[in-house]
Amino acid sequence: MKHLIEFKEVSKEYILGEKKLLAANKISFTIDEGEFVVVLGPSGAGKSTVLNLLGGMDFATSGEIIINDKNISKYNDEKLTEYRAENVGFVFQFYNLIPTLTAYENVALTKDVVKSALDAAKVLGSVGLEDHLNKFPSQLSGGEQQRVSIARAICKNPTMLLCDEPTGALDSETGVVILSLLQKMSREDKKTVIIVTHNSALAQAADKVIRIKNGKVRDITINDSPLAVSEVNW
Amino acid sequence: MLIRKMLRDMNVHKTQFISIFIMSILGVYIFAGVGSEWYGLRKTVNNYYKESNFSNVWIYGSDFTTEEVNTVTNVDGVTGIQRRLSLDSVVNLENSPVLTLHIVEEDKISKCILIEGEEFSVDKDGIWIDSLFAEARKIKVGDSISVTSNGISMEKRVMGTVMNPEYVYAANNNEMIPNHANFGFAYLSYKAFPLDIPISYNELLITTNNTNYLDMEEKIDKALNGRYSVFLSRNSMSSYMQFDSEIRQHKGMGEIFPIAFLAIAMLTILTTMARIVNNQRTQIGMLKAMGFKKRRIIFHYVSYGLWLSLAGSAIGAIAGPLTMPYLFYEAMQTTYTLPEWKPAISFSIVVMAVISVVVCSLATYLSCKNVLKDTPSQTLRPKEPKIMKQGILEKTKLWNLLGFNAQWNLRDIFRSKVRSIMAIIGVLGCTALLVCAFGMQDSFDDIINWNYKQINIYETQLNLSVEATTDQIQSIIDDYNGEAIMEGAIEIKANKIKKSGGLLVTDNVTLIRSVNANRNYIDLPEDGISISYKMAENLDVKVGDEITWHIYGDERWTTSTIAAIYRTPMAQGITMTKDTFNKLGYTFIPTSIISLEPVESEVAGVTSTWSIDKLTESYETMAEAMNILIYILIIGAIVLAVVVLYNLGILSFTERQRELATLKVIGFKTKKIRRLLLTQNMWLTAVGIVFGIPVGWWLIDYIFAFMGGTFDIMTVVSVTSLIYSIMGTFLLSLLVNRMFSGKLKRIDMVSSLKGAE
Repeated sequence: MKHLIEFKEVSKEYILGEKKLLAANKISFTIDEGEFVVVLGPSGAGKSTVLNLLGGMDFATSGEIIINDKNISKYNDEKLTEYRAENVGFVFQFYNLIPTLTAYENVALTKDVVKSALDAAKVLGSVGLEDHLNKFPSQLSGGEQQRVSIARAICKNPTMLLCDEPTGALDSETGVVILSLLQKMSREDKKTVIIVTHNSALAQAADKVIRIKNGKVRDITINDSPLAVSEVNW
Repeated sequence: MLIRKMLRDMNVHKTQFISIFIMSILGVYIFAGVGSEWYGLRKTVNNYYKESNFSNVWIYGSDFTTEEVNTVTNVDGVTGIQRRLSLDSVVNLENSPVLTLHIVEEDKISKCILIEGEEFSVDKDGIWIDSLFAEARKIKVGDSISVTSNGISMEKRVMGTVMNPEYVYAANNNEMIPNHANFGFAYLSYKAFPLDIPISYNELLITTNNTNYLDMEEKIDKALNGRYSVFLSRNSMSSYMQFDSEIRQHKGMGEIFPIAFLAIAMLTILTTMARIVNNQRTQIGMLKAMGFKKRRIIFHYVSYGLWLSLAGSAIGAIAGPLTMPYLFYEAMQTTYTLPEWKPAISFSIVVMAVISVVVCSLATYLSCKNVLKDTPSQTLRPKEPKIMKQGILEKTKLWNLLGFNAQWNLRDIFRSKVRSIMAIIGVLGCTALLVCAFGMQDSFDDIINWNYKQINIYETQLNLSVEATTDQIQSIIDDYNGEAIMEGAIEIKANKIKKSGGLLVTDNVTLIRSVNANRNYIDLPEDGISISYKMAENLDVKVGDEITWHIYGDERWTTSTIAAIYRTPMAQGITMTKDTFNKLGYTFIPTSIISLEPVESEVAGVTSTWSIDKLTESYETMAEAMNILIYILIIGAIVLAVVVLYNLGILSFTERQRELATLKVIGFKTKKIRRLLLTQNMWLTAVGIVFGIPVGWWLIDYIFAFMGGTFDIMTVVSVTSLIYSIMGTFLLSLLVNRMFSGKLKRIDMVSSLKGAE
């Protein structure tokens, strides 16, 4: 079976002054279309590095990253930008909304990047924010802001959603709402959703769990009967 | 969406963007205003010269014959020639005004421009007079006037009023401001001249296509076999020269000041944008992560500077020519005569506007390009804090002796170098402009002092009529306890340089004194000639060198050795005593009597009487255009200082908000924190002032270098002016500081110390 994403012995080396830091050490894994994947690991393990490489936000030092049969590890800056624009929707821990734009405008910003972007108001409605279109981020709660940022990510109709600790700045109740929303995207809309987190409880809800420690893949488990997020015991 | 983001960002950082906007308006406004002013004058006058076929060369002599005219016509480079008779006449009106009559066979060179009445024609009897003279004397077309010259009287009907390119600056000898009621010109056909008197043509007007006048003089000299007295080219013709140097002065000043404003706009943009881009680091990271192309992100940030400077430049470029030239024109109309006063847009205004937009956009680009260099993943992380190192100063023992206030401020200044340097530059610019403005005023006032209080210590000058008899002169001297002087126009040659200048011959004169280059009184030698300082400089001669000179109207050249050099602000030339003058074979004919006594009634043999007060007044009228520039400078200085300092205040205030909140939490009183900020402000202001004063001085020198011409202006900045400039700058700085004290009180300790997000 053909995989959507394939990491082949990918390494990433940072040079800090005279020291070298191997943030990713020959990482290999595959992800299929529509999977709900959780990348687990303690802080500093290299999860974010994997996410950055996957999202085309950084260059790999060695190895191959194949997305949809295309080797993006060979891409230059410009092609990577194009790849990000067309394929990747990001959701960050701190939402990273533009504070001077309203919820609607933040989502509609994607229209400037992707011509085929979905209707911003409808997408915001699908995350339950139809009443907050014209509010600025500072007028919204953390959970609402994160929902805007998810709406922004899915608005461009990307191949995959990459979420970096999406609930890290939220209380657990709101966190469950956000994660349920992400799981719904995968189950109902067949989106590939990849979540990076240090919270191992989420593993129970994932189709596939990739555990990372010290820059290496420790193990990959496939969950045949994942729980719904709301059923997970936090 | 990004445009909305830009507009909202601008709204958040209103102050900075407004100041960038104001600076770009001001820079282009002044440049375009003064630029269109002088360019309009140049265009108008060039057009005037072209349409009237303004003469390139004037040859003065006597009895020019048709044969001579023909020989000169054949000289290589000569494109046209016309002879005329010019003579001064007295009009039979109150105060006996003087009209210079030009009797011509045709009117094709230095042609008259008709203002009212009939076009000039040699076949018409009658007189065409100076339109401004007509206006001042309320003479209408169709009136008759009676003029007397060399004992011949004529009564003529005024056929028309005219302007003539030779009279753009139409001041009579010794006068600075033209008095159109007392001096003018008139045109007559040779056929209108009384038939019984043969006409002796004494001038040749020549147009040339060769502007190497030294070369032309040689050729024409050969053609005429030296039978002429004066060769005068445009460049030494007083009307042409005076107006030309006036235009050049305006040009010089209009170019230097906008540069200051543009530099400030650029610095403001650099600091503001650097700060915005740094603050929006994660936003940029987000845009990158979303897939925005680098180019678009760069363009987004560059557009902040681009649109503002574009709008500012456009407003400045449009408003400048619409408003500023008229301020100057009104003041200049008392001095110069032009058929029209119209500003003109030169291409350089467009260039300046483009430069200002490019510079502002470039500054924006420079401040954001670093953030964009990083990969998106790096950009999303906050910047690593700057590593603080102990400076050399902090390692010395002296450091510990400084109080907290000094330590904190010194560290802060060195940590934010760009901000500190910008503050110093802003203050420097303000002080420099103020010193320049006040200093120019001082220097102009100094001329009055120098000329009318130090050198010319008489009260009244009675200008003698050419027809005054020796008896009349003697009785004036006796009646008013006067002293006789002879003034004339000469041409001086030395080191292959030729200059026009003035001649002053004195007969036991005590009411005109002399000063040396350092303005100390000296006595000029009884024997030998003395030369003025600026003339000596222009001719590159010193005491003991030889110069050759001749009086206009007299073909004889005299060679003399310079015995002394004196310095005078206005009339550059040479001076000698009556005895020396006589010894050289000339006859002393007094042209004026100077006296300490006031003259109220009309005196026989005198054409006009001037009091020192009246002379001072006319000098001040002439300096009026200059005063406008001075006011512009002062306003510019104030705007500059307020905008730069306020902008920086906001910048440093927001940058240090957390620090200040910490101090507040620790228990510092608002008053103490205010003093902390004030200290730094005063330090930077003091440094700016120290550097600003010499820059202001240099600015004055620079502007005076453009004045050229016959003025010898010494740069003088009085102590009072210095104090005004320094106090003014300090006051502005304090005022801006005051604006922040309210903000200081409102610092919210809790929210300022909360997390970054």
